[in-house]
Amino acid sequence: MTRAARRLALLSLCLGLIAPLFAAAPPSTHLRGETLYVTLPADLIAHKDVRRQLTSGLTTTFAIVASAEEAKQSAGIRIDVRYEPWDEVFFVTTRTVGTAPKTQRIASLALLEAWWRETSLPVLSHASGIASVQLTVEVLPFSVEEQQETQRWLTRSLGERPLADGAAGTDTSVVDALFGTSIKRRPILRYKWQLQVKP
Amino acid sequence: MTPRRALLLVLAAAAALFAFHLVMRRVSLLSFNLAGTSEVRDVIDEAMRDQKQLSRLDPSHASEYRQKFERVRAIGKRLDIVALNREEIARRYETALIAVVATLLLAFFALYAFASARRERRLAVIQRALEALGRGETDVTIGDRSRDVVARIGAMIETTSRDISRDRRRLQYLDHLASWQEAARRHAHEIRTPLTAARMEVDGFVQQVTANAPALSATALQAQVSIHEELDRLREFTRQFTSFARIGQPRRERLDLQNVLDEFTTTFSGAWPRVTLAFTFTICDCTAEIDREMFRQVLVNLCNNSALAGASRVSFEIEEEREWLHVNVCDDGPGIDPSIRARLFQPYTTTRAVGEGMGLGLAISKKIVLDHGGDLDLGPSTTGALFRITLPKAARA
Repeated sequence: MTRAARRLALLSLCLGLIAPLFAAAPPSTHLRGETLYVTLPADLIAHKDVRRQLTSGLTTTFAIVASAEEAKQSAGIRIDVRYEPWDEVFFVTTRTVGTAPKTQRIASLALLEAWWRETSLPVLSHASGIASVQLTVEVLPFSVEEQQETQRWLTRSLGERPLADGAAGTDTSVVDALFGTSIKRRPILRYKWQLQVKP
Repeated sequence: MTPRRALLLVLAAAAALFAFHLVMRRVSLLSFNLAGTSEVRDVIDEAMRDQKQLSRLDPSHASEYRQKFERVRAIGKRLDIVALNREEIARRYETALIAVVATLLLAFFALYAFASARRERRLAVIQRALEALGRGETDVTIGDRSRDVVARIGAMIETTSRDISRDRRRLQYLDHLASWQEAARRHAHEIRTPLTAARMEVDGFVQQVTANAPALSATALQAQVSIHEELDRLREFTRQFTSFARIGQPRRERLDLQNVLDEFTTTFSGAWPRVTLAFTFTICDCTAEIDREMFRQVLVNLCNNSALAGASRVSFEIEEEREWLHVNVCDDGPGIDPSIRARLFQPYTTTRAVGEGMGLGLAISKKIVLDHGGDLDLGPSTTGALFRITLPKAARA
């Protein structure tokens, strides 16, 4: 590799690392009563990595954590988006603390993007008087269930002993444990904003 | 192990581990990349599309197609997740392999260090043994029963020490015996000269008495016979002294000891009327370079002693021990008196009454065997006496 090519590769890598920080516009906030709502930017779901992940058939999870240091409040919301390739529809499940999960069926990616733009997420329930809030969004490429199922499959593929499909990961072999735990849900994208709360 | 050598070994191990890591990284990443290659992904997508297509074309088997679709989809999902984690899985895989290799290397080094330390300790023992040998100590023992080179060297030192010890004892004995032989030679000479003169004087005196006093001739002749008997006894003692003083050097020839012993037991079967001679044949290379007559004399001396001690059976047996042959001569007599065991092979050692033997037989026998490069010892025995004649095997022709 020439020196120029190495420099180009290094520059690309640096740009790739810092790109998410500038790629998405910050979310908008608004107070309704005492509850703080957040609308996530459309850029986030339009990101090429996120878009590829959304149509992969795996469950893409958006983990949203809001924290207000001055009020010592913190809360989280999780949005699971799973594409069903047989029916070619998206299932979106929203989970907030203290409420039952709500699942919606969305017929296309365009409708999903529309839903994303229009949806306000209640991130803090007692937000009156809060001037700013820190918002973190992580995009996780698959769900816990999919992770566990793949761990079992990988262990079974590498080892000699067959494991029942429904069996939990109770195998105590060191090698099995070593490979079984190598499947982890690492975020493919991570955003962090410090937002001013508009009354 | 020297520090430099240890450092070199550690560097070599580190280089081996690093090379192994590089190779394994390529191999492990290659295998995971193969699983997640776009071609595999395309085939999976195509299979899923086909099942959907089939389901639309053949709705009656839709559930079956759906099942197949889900199965393929599950594989695709797993491969996607593995592809997302391939770096971590490959890292774990390499870590596991490197841990195994590192453990093996560590175990190897531990064993090597242990073996080195042990070898150094054993070499120190050998060094001390050699120093002891240099100081003139004999019968040095090392006690290393391993099978490697160090143990073999130790065994050689032990053998050399035993040989030196045996040769030293042999020389001491021969020196000691030489003094006794010289004394015997002088005694024989000093006795023989006046003995001849005394015999001639007695004969002359008896002739004078017979000629001049015939009445005393009978008494004089009777006295002459009596004096001649005593002088004959003295002559016999002188002969024995001379025989002891003039033990010759063996004229050796290659002989099979089994044949010699077999022949001896046959020839001398009637020599001691109350004693039975027995020889047990064994399968061995029993060739030795011996003087047949001298060896026979040794056997005769031993059998004489057994017969005089009241034994009824003397048996002969050959044992082979590396380059040595042992001839065990065992009788069923009363055994050796413990009070004379320590000086059994010294000249003039006997338990018989005065006049019944001079105690030279065993000393002569021992000298003969020593002159053959072997030894004659008293062996351990619970019944009777056991003498062991040790002779070197003849070199292979």
